[in-house]
Amino acid sequence: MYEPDPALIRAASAGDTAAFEELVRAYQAHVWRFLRHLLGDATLAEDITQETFVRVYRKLETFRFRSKFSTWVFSVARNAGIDALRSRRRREQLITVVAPRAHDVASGGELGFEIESALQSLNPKLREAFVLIEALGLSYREAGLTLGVPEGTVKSRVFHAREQLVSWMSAGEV
Amino acid sequence: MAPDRLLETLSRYFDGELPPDEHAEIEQLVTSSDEARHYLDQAGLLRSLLRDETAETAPDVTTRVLAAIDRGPERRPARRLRVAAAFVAGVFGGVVFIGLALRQPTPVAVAEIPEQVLAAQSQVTSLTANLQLVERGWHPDIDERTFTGSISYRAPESLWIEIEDDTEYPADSWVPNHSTYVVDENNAWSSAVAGCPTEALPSCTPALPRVSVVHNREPFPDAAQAPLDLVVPVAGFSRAEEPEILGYETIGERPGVGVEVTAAQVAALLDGLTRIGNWREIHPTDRVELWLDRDALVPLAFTVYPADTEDRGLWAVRHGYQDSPETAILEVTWSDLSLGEPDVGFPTPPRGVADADLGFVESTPPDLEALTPGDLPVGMTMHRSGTVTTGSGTSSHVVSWSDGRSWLKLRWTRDWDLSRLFGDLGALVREAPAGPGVVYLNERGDRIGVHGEDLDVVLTGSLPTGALLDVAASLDVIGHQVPETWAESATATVDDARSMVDGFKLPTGLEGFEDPAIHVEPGVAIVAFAGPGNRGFLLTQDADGELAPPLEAKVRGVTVQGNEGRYTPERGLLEWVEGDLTVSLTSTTLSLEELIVIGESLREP
Repeated sequence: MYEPDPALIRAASAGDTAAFEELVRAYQAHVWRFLRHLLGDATLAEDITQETFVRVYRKLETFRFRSKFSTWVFSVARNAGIDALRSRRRREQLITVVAPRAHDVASGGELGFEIESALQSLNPKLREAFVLIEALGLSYREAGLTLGVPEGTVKSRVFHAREQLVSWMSAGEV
Repeated sequence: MAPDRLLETLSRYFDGELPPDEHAEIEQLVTSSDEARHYLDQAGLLRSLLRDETAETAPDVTTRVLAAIDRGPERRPARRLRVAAAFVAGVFGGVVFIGLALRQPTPVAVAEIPEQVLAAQSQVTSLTANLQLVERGWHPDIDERTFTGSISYRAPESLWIEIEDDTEYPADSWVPNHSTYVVDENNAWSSAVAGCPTEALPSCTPALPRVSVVHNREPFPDAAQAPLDLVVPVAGFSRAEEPEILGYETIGERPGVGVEVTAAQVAALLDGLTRIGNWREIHPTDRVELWLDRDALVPLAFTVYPADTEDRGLWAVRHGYQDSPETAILEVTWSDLSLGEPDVGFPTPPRGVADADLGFVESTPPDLEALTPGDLPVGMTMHRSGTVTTGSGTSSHVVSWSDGRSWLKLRWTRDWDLSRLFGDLGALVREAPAGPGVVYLNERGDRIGVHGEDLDVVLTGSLPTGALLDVAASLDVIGHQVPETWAESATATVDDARSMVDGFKLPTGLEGFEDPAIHVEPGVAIVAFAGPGNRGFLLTQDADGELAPPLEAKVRGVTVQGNEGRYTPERGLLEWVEGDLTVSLTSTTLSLEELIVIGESLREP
């Protein structure tokens, strides 16, 4: 994962729009992919990607260079994504259920791919850890920093997510 | 090595996260274990599937982001103060009827309206009308936005909505909220501006509309249903109790009957107009005055007023809205309404836009004759049938029937291997007898799952629950109870719940909700009640007898059945302790006042 020169971050934090634009261009595709898997909705992910970078801009002066910039951006995206999930729940006014509502593998949703349906059937905590590791290639440590959980928790969540997905694939769905 | 430990170690090995000594040990094991190699093969396939999707183009949001930050993020404190001042005033008793004068309530058979709406859906075969919309409170700098448009419908599922923004904005930087939405059976497309956070308007709105095109769309898809409640509001009146009557009135030269409902109840109607484009949000407890054609039960007009509650006021502040319960936030009127007009042509999507293939191919499914219900409602004829094939070749068969706007769809597969019901019924279901077997209904009673001997079926439609059950019972499939390993095996009856949770209670005198779906675990009972539209609540009774620390900062003290409890507005959660039982009511669509009434009505059955 690309890590920007600290001077570029400082310039963006000081109000250099061109510098900030460079940061947006560097990370927007990664953020969108993360959010698309987290939210299961490409269009909503686009809106929340925008919201993520607005938040990044507002919070830039609080970035202390104690972590990688990429993990910090993903943590902002993750919080924006969770807010969007809550907001969507309110908007759709779903009745809370005891387990995450899963979409049928064969239901032919908008994305149309079983892999996305299977991902959406995971508990969101498993899903976000798995996507960071598997789709974006973060290390356990980086994912832990992004999610605000210990490395061991990431390891456990990725294992359980992978176990469910491999079991599902082995059942002949893919 | 124990199997779980092995898989966990393999998972870390696959991610390159094993220390060198363990790494070598696992490499040795992989060479000798078919199970380990299979696991790694499957994990590798999964990774390649996820990483291959990088071919999908990520959108470029740079322009929107830069425009948003250029605008500045801070809300003005004055806005909060103005809302607070209105709140303190607290004199919202009067009701202002805007645009619909001379409403004089007349005694009518109001109780029949829900039934009449459901019956009327089969009578509407086509519809055209012009639309006039007024929206208030979208942005502090824009008092009011006005729109004109049109709606064209062709039974059973084709719909074209065109909305033109006539607002005179203060500057060119405000992008008009024009939108086009077309569903034409197999194809669908839409064009509208992208939404933006209120505080980032107007500069964050892209000048170009967002265009979406799909083809090979199955009939009545779960994910992208056409908003048919704009034609006859079936979802809004399924399971509905007797509505509050506003009266009779002529609207646009048509005889109308007015009822008062909540935004949650008619969410499908409201969302139908505002699902694309850049609109303000409406709170689920907002009050909606809905006027329906007395004969055809199609909408003629509706007006939305903010609910007059503390929680609604706080919600408005969070969204940056300066709402007052006296001022309508959305008014919509249908005019020049015409039913049964000759077929209208629908516009084709713009050229050059990438489209998405939803995988439906029209055909005659192999088991169609055997799976055609023996008890189809009179008037229903076959609509579209075929096979939905998704990315890797997995397929299920679909057949649909319709009569006007009413519809019925059967989907089945012989390859269902997951340990839950086929058909996306959700985790809370209820079991019902059907012929010699059993079926499962979702919370709303509009989706029925059948777990057969060698096939799994789901039946959906716009019909009332009883009619759907009749159709399910007439299928040549005997439904079995789900295996004990499936999530739905914890589905319970009231007697089950009483035996597993001491002091188990249910609401009494509850009207306007489907029979409950009950899920039990030792010491815990979870009961879901679904009402019309999106109204619903969850009742949880847990034998742990204590409240967990609150997860949100804003919590309010309340009293329920003489017990001190608390309400968390952000989560719509009312909870209290009665003896050894922790009781909670959760809803994002019912107000605190309604939840307290339900809480006070709880009694042991």
